[in-house]
Amino acid sequence: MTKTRQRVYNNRPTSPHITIYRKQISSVLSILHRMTGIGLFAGLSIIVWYFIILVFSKFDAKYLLCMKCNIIKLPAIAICFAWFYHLCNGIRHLIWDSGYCFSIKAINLTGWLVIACSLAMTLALWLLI
Amino acid sequence: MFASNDVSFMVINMMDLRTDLARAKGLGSAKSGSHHWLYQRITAIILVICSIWLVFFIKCASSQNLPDLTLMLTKPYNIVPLGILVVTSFYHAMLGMRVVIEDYISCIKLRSVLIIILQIFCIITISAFIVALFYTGIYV
Repeated sequence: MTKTRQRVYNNRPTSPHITIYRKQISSVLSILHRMTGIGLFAGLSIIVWYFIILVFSKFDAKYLLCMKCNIIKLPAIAICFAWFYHLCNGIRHLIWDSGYCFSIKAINLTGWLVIACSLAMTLALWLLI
Repeated sequence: MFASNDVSFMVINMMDLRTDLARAKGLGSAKSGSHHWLYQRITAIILVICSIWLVFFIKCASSQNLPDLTLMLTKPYNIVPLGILVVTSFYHAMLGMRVVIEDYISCIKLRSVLIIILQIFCIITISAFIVALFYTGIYV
């Protein structure tokens, strides 16, 4: 791209920024999907490297018991919710990719369904444990 | 808003004396470009299936005492799904984080560097995890 064209390109009107819009169920869920994705990547990296280090340091399995400790529980519940939310919303995305549920009504309905499902699944798993 | 947009478009078109076809040909086809989209969906479906296993695994693991828990990790029917889950989710995460980086990092050089760091990190983690899985049986 030449310099002049770059200047013209930079002066083009940009679309309104995210803070200007009124919060809607679809936009909030979309942002949350990305945020949980980033969070899961960070969480999974920590857990996997913890496992790797655990295995290569003679597998002292008592470190697995840290799950019983209360300080670990809060991030664990957060990762758990992020996982279930990303799972439910991912299924919603897969349904969209196959060409269904594109009406506004369906999008709102499945959106609330995703929230309900992920909360229920998180609660169920932690009550089950 | 519309007027300035139209003018900028005109300026762009006037500056470029080539035809649209020539411009398109000059940019060329990358020969690939949609495979990551498809792989992201395929890995998503695999991860949905693996997640069902993971729920059962967490449920079983939580009610075990320590020796049984370590024994659980040496069983093939636990190691194989665990391996598939972690490797697939890291591939899925690599594609997803790449999109995130591409969306929010506007500096092209920084963007490329971050993507390469991300990919190296994912490849190292996946390899180390697979090796660690083989060692679980030896150390228990």
